[in-house]
Amino acid sequence: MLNYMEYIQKCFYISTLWNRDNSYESFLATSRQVLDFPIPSGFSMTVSSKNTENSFTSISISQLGELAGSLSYMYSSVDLASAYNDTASVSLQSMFEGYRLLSSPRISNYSQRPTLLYGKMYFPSQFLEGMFIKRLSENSQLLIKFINTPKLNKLYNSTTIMNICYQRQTPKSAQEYVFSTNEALFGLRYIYNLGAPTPAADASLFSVGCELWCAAQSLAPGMSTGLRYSTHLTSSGKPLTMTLVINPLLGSIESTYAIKTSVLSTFVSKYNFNVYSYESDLSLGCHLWRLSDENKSVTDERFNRLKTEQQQELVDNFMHIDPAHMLSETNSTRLFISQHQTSDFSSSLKCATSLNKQQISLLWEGRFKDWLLSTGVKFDYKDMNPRSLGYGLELQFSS
Amino acid sequence: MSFQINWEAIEKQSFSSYTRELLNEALNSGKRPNILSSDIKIVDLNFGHISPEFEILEIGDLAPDRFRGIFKFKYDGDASVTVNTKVSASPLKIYNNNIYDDLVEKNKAYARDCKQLAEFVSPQFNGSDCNFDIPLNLTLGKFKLSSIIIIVFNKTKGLTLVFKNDPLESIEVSSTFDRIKPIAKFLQKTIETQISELFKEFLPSYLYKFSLKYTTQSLLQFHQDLLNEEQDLQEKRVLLKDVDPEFPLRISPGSLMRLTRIASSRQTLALGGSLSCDRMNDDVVTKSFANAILAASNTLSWNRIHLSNADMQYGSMGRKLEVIKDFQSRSFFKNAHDGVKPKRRVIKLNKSKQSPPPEDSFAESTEESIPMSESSPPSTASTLVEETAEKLPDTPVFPNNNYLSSLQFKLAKKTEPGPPTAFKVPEKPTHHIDQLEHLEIQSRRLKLEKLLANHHTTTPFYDSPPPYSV
Repeated sequence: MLNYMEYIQKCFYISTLWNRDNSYESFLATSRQVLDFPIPSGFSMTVSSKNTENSFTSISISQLGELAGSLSYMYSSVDLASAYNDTASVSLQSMFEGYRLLSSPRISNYSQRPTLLYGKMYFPSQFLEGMFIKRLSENSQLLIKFINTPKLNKLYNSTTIMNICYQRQTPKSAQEYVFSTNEALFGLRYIYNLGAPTPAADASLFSVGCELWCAAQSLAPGMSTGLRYSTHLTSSGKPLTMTLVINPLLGSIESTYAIKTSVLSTFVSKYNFNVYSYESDLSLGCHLWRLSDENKSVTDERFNRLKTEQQQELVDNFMHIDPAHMLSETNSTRLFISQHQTSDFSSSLKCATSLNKQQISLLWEGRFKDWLLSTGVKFDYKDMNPRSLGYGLELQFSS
Repeated sequence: MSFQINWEAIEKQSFSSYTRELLNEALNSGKRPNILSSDIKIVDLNFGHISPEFEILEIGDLAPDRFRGIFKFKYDGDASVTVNTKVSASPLKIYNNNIYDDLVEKNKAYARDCKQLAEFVSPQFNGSDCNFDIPLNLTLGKFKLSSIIIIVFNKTKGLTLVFKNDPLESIEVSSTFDRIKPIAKFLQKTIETQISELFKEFLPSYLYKFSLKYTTQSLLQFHQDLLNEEQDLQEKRVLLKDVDPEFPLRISPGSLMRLTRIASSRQTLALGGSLSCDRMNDDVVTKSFANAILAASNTLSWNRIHLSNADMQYGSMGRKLEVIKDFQSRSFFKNAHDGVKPKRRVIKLNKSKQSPPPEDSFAESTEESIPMSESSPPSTASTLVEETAEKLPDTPVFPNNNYLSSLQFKLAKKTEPGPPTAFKVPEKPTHHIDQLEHLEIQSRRLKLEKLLANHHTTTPFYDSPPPYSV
């Protein structure tokens, strides 16, 4: 489940027409969401609210052993009302992320230069974290994140780490320049989209990307390159994504295949292989949705069961079909996408397993009377001796 | 005081496997450092053949059930340990882990908040931080340790050992990365710092656990176990019969006495009152046992000087008396501390004045005065009988009158005992036998006789040693 800050950030991107999928970072987004999802630990509860059009507050309390909490404030210079919804009415697809349906990159002509500010203080540890996002031009954005820990006793110093990220984005390509004060880490991410920009919303997208890292103080290098191919099955409109990421320095190859087999289910598989150490791993995961009861009766599509008006409407539509239109309007892909976006889900279940590590993770997320719930458990089944590695419950409410 | 350490005993199977288990547990307890991606496993643990050296500097407290002392400890041997583990060689993965670890190190109480902070600020690596584990075999050997240690031993609380200073002088580290010089140097440096910490913290707690395990049994049982193990390993002791196979036990009583004295001097190092290594070992002849043999055995009576009635009339009386005199004066002078001359009571038998004393009392008094063991009281009084040639015409009793006269002294009065000696000399002869010992002696005597019976000869078993030949 997205926490409140991430949800606001997502709303900000949507409102300012910034494509967060047009970045190397999001190559493995689907596989991360369905295979490497985090399980909540202990019990935590978050209550948030939109105070005014531009400011948002959130308080969270968590209990794992000892009681701790945090308080955060957000400010956005642009009104997020178009994208923001409270937890009573938010569509679960946007909060419970699973398959990442990519929106194809478009030329943006956004003229405003909005800002997003975020600050969070943890109690009782008095840790501070903050974020600043500023849109610098139509295609570029500056993102600054920092953390700070106070000097509680004379023995230890405080820690301050700041990440500065300058992002540039065009439909064809996108670059990111990252600098972190921790060990002077320099990073560069680059992505190139083939076959873009296209006006159609459901086009397939083939992207190539790479990233280069170097921690200057400890001289730790890192690099990887990858491909992502995102398309839809033309027969049924089911979207699928295939990625391949290679790390030439350490000789690891990671390939994923994700397919949304129906509106309600997603299946993802990932295969890792290391050329030097011959270590390999196969991970499998699925993400299942459940519709809320109100919708179930509507999707009965057999002609004889429809009411007479609807039957008449269908016959009229059929008689007026224009082949050229049909391709674009009754596009199965679009139908699928729109169905997915408009479906009213009530809960989702994620299940992932890794054959090498011999672990199973389960996460159930749902909505219950204006509250969003998320609970999960992680098992280790080595030697046929299941033991649980962690479990928890998380509640979220926002208004 | 020196210690002889039987280092070979430490190579016993059960001990080394117990140590290995304990070491495995200790190395994997606590949080595993990020650079290791699997458990540390001990592949080989070898204690070597050279034992460490202990030198006592000070003993603070010594009692049957507790002990405290300061020792100087030195080890320069060939023990070695080989461990196997997996090292993570993915730099960016370690980068991410370091962010979290640094935060947790500085804020130990708020681990969960540290985790959230670390996730917030770690850059999202896309495949650059994949897992990459390299197996590593690490061998530590050629330990050079030297330190001052304090050992506190308590029967109920076990053994505590504390190093006063850093014991590690040098150590040799060899690994599968030896060909890559920077990594080899890094490992050497890291391990040197870690090992000294290990000695200061891990070794005392390990020894404490070990001592608790072994002293929950009774201390006696523990010693018994140790002895049993030792007897398996140590070289065979030299038995008396090995000295001269043809004439076993061909050893003069004097030598036997000296040997038993040496052997019994070890008893002063016993830890407890009734505990002594030798008491439990049948093969060692203790002094009391030797005395018992000599006292109880009839076949070994050649060293007694019998003065029978026949001797009075026909035997070489004078010679025997000389022997007695020699013996007495030797034992007196051994125990005397200044030039005190032995006092001898002289009974003069004059033909004319006195009637000759009855022969029985003569024989009695002579016999009475024969002490049989060298730990009898120094003969400050002895009865010497003078006989004139007239009484016993055919025995040249005293070849030299002057010789006799030189031994004449004033009538002895009751003398005070000599200056107190360090070793309290018992009043009674020490071959006092109690019931249990009597049975033991019986059994040993039977053994001895069986042994002697194997070497059956008609001639006397031993040449009589010259001083006692008559």
